Amino acid sequence: MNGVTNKKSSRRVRERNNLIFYCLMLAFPIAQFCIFYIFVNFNAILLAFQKYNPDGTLTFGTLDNFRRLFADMKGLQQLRDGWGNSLLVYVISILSSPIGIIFSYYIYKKRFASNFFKVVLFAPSVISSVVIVTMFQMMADSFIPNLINEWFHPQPQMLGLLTMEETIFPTIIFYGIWIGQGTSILMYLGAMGNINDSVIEAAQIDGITPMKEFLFVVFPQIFPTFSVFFVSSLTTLLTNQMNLYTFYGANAKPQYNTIGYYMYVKLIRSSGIADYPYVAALGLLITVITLPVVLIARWAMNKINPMEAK
Amino acid sequence: MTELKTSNGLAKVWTVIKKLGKKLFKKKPTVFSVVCACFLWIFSLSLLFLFAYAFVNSFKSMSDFMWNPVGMPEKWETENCIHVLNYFRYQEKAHAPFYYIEDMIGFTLLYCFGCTLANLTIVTVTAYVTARFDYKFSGVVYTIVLVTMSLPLVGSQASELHVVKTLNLYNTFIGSFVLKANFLSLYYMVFHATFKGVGKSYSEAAEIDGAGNLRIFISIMLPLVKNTLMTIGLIYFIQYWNDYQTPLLYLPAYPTIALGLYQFKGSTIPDIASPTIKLGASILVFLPIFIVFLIFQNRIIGNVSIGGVKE
Amino acid sequence: MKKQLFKTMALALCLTAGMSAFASCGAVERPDSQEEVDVTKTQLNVGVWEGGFRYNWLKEDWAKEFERLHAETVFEEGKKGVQVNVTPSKNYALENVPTVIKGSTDHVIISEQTNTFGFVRENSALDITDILTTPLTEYGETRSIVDKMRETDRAFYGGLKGATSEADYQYVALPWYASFFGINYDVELFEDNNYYFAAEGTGVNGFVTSLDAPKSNGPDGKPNTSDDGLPATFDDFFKLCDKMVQDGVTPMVWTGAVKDYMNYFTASLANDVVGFEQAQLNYTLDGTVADTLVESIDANGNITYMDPVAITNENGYLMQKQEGRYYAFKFLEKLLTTRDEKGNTVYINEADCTSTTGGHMAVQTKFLESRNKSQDNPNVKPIAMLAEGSWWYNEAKPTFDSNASIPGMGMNERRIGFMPMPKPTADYAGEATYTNTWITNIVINANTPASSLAAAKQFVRFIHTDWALSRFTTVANGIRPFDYQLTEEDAANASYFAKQALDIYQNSDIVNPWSSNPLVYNNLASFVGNYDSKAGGSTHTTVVEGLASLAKTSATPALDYFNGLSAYWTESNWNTTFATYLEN
Repeated sequence: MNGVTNKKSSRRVRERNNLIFYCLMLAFPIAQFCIFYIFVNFNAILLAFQKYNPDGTLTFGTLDNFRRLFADMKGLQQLRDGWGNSLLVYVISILSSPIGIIFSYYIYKKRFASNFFKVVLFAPSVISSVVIVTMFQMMADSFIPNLINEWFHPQPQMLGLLTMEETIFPTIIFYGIWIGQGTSILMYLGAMGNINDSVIEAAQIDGITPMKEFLFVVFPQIFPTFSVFFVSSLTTLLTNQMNLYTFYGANAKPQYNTIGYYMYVKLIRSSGIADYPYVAALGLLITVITLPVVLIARWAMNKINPMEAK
Repeated sequence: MTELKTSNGLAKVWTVIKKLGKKLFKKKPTVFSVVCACFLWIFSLSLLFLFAYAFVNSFKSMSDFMWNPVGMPEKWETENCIHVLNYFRYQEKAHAPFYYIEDMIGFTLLYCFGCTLANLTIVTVTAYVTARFDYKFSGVVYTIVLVTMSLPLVGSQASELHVVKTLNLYNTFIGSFVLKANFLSLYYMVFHATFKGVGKSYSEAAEIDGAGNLRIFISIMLPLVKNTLMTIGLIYFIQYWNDYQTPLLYLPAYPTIALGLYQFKGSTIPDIASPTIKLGASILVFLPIFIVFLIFQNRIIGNVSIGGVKE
Repeated sequence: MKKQLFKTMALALCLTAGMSAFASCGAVERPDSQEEVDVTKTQLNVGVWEGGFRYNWLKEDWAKEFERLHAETVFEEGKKGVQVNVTPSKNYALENVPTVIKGSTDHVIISEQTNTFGFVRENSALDITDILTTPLTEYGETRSIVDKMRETDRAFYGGLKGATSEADYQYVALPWYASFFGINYDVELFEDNNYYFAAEGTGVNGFVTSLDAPKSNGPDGKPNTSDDGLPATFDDFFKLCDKMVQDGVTPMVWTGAVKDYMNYFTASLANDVVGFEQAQLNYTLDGTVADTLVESIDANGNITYMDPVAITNENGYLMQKQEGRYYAFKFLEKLLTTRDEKGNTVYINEADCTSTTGGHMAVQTKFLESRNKSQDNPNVKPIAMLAEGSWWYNEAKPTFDSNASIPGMGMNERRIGFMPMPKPTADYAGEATYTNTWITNIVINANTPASSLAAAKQFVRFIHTDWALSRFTTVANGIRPFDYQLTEEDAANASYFAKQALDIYQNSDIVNPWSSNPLVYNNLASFVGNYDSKAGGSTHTTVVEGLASLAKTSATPALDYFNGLSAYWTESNWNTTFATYLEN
């Protein structure tokens, strides 16, 4: 009898200790989450409906921020063009994703120099964007046009890629694609690494060509990863700055602004918290737009998942 | 005799060529792989060329750069390094002290180590307790991570900055650490899956020996995931080393090296206005982390690729 | 694994720590390191904008001389003499300065691109009226600082607290340097190639054949003045440019890195066309009658003028129709759009004028070195003219220093001059009117502790002595907007550029694109270098980019841009923007 009681009480003690440990370990993370996620987002909604007073205080209960926002969307070129630019950047990043997938496939098949490519393509991801942008700016504006002028003597002479109006935006987009391949390659590589070798071997025994192997065996298997990339890119649809701040500081031309860049510049240039309510209103608007888009995209990707279809 | 030597030499060369060929063409090249390889070579060489271009041009004078933008330096200006070290500085406000590179390295190390430690600790601890303890709340936490990763609540930076200032965490290292100490990341899932996969026998044996929960976590569980810990820690460290926008917004009084470079890049002081000096500063910031990356590339790349989603 | 990790982190960090150790161990001498504080002397902290003028003139000349002169002066009880600590700061420019100085321990602040009214509004600068209005007798002079100021500067700096008459002026700041913008030309290149117009009836193709030959009257229309031989009209200017192009010289260049610079150029040119009084009206809106407003312009460029109208706050938008703007756009249009058969611009180097690489100092380097480089390299074209502000010469010091070993290329050896703007036609001949670019300020921090206050006030007085004014021009190649001449010693040492710029300043009208009109000083961004224009379906803010963009689709970009000014600044927009300052 005593043994049973002792066992029960020691089990209760252990459970109590487990619970205490559990609560103590989760106390800070949950508190941090509550303050810096829940409260911050709740505060963002509140801020959007607050008005900044000259004495530094905030007054709740106004739609002025939204009125100003909608007026600026008509009047300010940054906002008028920003929506289109943000969408364009996203579409181009999706359209360029096959580059990453195909490169990943090459490396996955351990072809010639695949390790070298893997390292070099990933290197920009570990280097500060300020560094790479500085180097790229000099190259795009000085080295490349001068080289082309020297070798090919085009007439009229070529100007800097970040100078000619026709080439500024494409150059910045190119930069994003050129530098951003590393992370996506590794993501797809990881997914390809999870493919069962027997599936590939069976297909090869059946005499499948490399292209068909890629299209009908590998791609369907990595589709969930592609789907994650597609959907997670959508979450940054309107917050993507496109490295504009690194290129131009707060002085990017209005016609090249993205919404994310406009927001960041507004924050940086805000005198105290004066512009926070306005930026919060814009953030809220972005969330309201992005949320259903992401949910629909998730649903759609799940629907067309080739593995699901089977 | 000479003929014998020559034929031996030729045989050796032929053997080397055959070995090289076997290595290069382990697999029979296809049209797809050749085309792909060409594009990959162009991509890779263009990236390497960018770094080489920056390095070479950082040794030019302003005049040489303007008149000779394409060629090698007429004279290798090693003085540029001195200029960078002299003027690579940051001043938050008027009459504030100048922070030079040694100060910025100190701030950067503190920022990177602190944020990495904070982030890693919280992710690991949260993943461990929610994986090992079957309370209902564990499921709630897991769902929270899933939902926050999938649902975009964006544009809250203004609010976050407001909250940070209200809590007097603005412009403090502790504030930055607290800000980064959250579990909402993909690596939570990685650790969660890892801890879930560890057999209960380890912890049960330790319990029998009288170890408490904390002891089990520190002495038994953490060593089991130390490789993953180190890799993700390294990834976080690199990420924080390169980030300049967060210190610019939240920690402007303690400039990191990336923030210092950002300010240096935009400086109009005549002595450092030369683009070659700005390239020199870029090389200075880029080299240490590149060396770390080169040496640990297997670990970093190998483990980043775990992020792929399995069906 | 752990060992490898630690070893490598140590290796990488050693690399960076090594560099910093090398830097901090004295092998690398840090500029701006503070001297040790001498506790027996009063401490005076002087902060200065860390920009193109640098601050060697402040540290080595002003500060050292002030310390020497006042080695025995008691500024505070228990201490004798003064130690001046000079600190440069990137925070002493732009609109935040009045707020920034509240948190600064600098006592005297020298800043630029800051609206002086900000100091009044923030109450962050001390009232210094008393030290400005008493003669500098302690330095052997009979004039006060105010006596040396121009009337327009006195009205602005003294009128910001609402005073309407000079007797009531109250000052919280003084100007630092005159920032006029214009065409800088390579005098040596001009002389080598005889780029001077000959007096009527002489010369070959209108140009002199030697430097001794009689020259034309120049833009002022008067003989035997400093602008003789220089292009008097737009036609002359482009005729000169054509000659330069034939000779393989690039006529003009400007920086593409600072987009606003050519807006300031536009202001200089536009104001020169209409003359000082009409130009100043843009910024005073004081009821003076405007008689240069355009009603319409026909296809041949003939202007029909509006009836003269008094300009006040209520109808200030009408100034967008001032003819000077149109002529300035026409001038720039010709520079930008004249192309050869291959499509390359003829009068400017388009790559240099649009490139952001290297910042604005890159194009200064090219301008300064082009003549010398062209002698060794036939592919290099000398550049004759550079559009820049009066501060640029000192900014280019690193270029001068790197070329100092080449005979004739040193800072004090080169002869670079300021060219008066050409006029649209000979009918506009007259004295040159220059236009300042931005407001500069010297203030005493309102937070200055009592222990340093006397020294701060004395320092402000000292730096406005004739000696200090002369010294600034000689060492910094800049012009202080006061009435002074170079001392004999400085005249022997000053550069050609500095002497010529000072001569221009002392003998020309200078327009300030600001005034003590509350509508103006509370909305400076709408006046200083502002050429917002709605044309071609877009809103343009920078003139050269706007003109270049319009030129792609329109045969009359200058006219479109000019009309776009009024399309932007409609009566409605003006009333909405400045509602607070209008009577109705």
